[in-house]
Amino acid sequence: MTDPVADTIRLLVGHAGGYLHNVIREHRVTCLDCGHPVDDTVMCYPCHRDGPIAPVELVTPLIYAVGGTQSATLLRHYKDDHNAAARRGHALVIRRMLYLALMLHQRCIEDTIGRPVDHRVVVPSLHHRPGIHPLAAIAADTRATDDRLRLIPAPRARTDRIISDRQFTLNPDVDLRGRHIMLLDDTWTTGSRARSAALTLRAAGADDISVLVVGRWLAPEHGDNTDFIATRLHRDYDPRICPVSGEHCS
Amino acid sequence: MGDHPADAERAALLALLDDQAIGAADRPAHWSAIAADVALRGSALALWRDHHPPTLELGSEPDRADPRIDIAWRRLRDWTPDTPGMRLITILDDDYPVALRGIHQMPPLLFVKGDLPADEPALSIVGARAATTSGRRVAAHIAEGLVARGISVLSGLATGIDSAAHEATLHAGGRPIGVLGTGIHRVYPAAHAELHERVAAAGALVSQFPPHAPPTRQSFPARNVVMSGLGRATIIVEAGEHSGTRIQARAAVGHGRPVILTEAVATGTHWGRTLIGRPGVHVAATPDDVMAALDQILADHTTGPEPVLPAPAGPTAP
Repeated sequence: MTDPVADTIRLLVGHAGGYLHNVIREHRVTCLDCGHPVDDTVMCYPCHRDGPIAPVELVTPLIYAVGGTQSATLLRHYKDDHNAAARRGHALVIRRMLYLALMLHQRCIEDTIGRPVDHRVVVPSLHHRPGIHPLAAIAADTRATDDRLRLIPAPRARTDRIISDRQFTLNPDVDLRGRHIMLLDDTWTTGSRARSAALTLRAAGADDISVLVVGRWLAPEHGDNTDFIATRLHRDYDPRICPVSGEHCS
Repeated sequence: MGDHPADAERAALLALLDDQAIGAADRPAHWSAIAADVALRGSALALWRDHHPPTLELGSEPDRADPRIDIAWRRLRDWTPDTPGMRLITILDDDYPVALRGIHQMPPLLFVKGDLPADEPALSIVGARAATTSGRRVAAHIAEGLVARGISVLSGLATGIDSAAHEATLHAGGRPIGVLGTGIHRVYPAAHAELHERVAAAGALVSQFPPHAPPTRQSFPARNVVMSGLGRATIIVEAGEHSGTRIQARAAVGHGRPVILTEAVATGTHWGRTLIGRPGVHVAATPDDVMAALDQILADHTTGPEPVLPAPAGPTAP
């Protein structure tokens, strides 16, 4: 590969661009935090409610995972299909998205926050999944993460959508004062898992927390989402579009 | 068929398909949603118990006295082909085609006549029934190119482009895979009975519908979606404004599977023009262009290691 970024863009767009859609960042059209459609408000209800309790500096979802469509199949089956070959095929798409987002847009995230990323950490599953989580495996293979800093589910973590600094523990339990930690997560539904992880990082002293999410879950049956999907999600996925601004950067 | 655990799983799968909607056979989206749930759960029995928690009996399988389960067992007996060389593959089986598992409209059941390896590389060649002589010649030429590359040829067994592609595949000694818009026991059009037999003998016939299902308005578009899912890409040789082939072109883009349109299709139809520039859509002016695009698509399946991020610039220890 001569230009790995250009090659990966070509492969990702050619094999997934037709069913993925960049998250739209538009004031009072989508939530300032998570990118979910809103009805002329700044934030969606869960972010408005939970943001003050467990704030994060920036959430950057890459695409919408639209229930009942190929994008939702991607985000569920890459980790939970019982067939290994099916998981592998979807995981390759997720890997390419993650690689490109970090190569092309980590700088935009750092510019917005005003501090470079010191560590990237995967938000673990709370469903007592055996073995290494597929997103953690992708992040490690891509060298987005390493073993120096990890979040692990607390032994008594709950599987419901509570927000608590007791859902995860930091390993090793180090001082994160003055640090910018980037959380990596596959799916944002209400944000409770990522916000709980943020509380744990904050308790360790982290100054800035950004959350890079692959898919913002979008339930077509919810509110006016059907309308939003029909009228706004017509543009094919372009990994060069910035998940911070919703526009082309540089 | 006895009380083998795999049969209990199959019966539970059929019970699930029957459970929520009468006439669900006409609702591919509903069937696919169940197939996807079963693929995630890894068990149709477990999913059935999720929906219908056992009350009295905690046996190893749902109560056979439950009329819903009893009906499913009888249907399984009816639907399990007794014809030699014919079989039922379900989403629960390891030999369910890998490529088809990747699309959100994965069908729960596939009736197969002939040989269908789960990881068989295949491409679709599809097009109009009312094909021109030159269109048929181009379809045959591309089919021969696929056979030479060891790729199986998916098509719909219709007259015109479909049958030209399969006749050429057979003639070249390749593997044709006919994807049916009817049940596996039906032949449509009736004049293609003999072609059906030859395709099954050299490759496979595949149907996602109950074995005796007639063709319907919905069955052909649903079939084209599955055909896209079975292959790595779709090549559309010649098609009109209202050709059913356009369904497959759009489905393939929605699956992230490349589409090759001949220039006549890309510029001569409204739907073709709307596809120009969409992700994975190639327009080929000549048969050589088609083969070049096809070789690129095949090469993209065997790329080297994926790139990794540069070493972190941050501190070496937290």
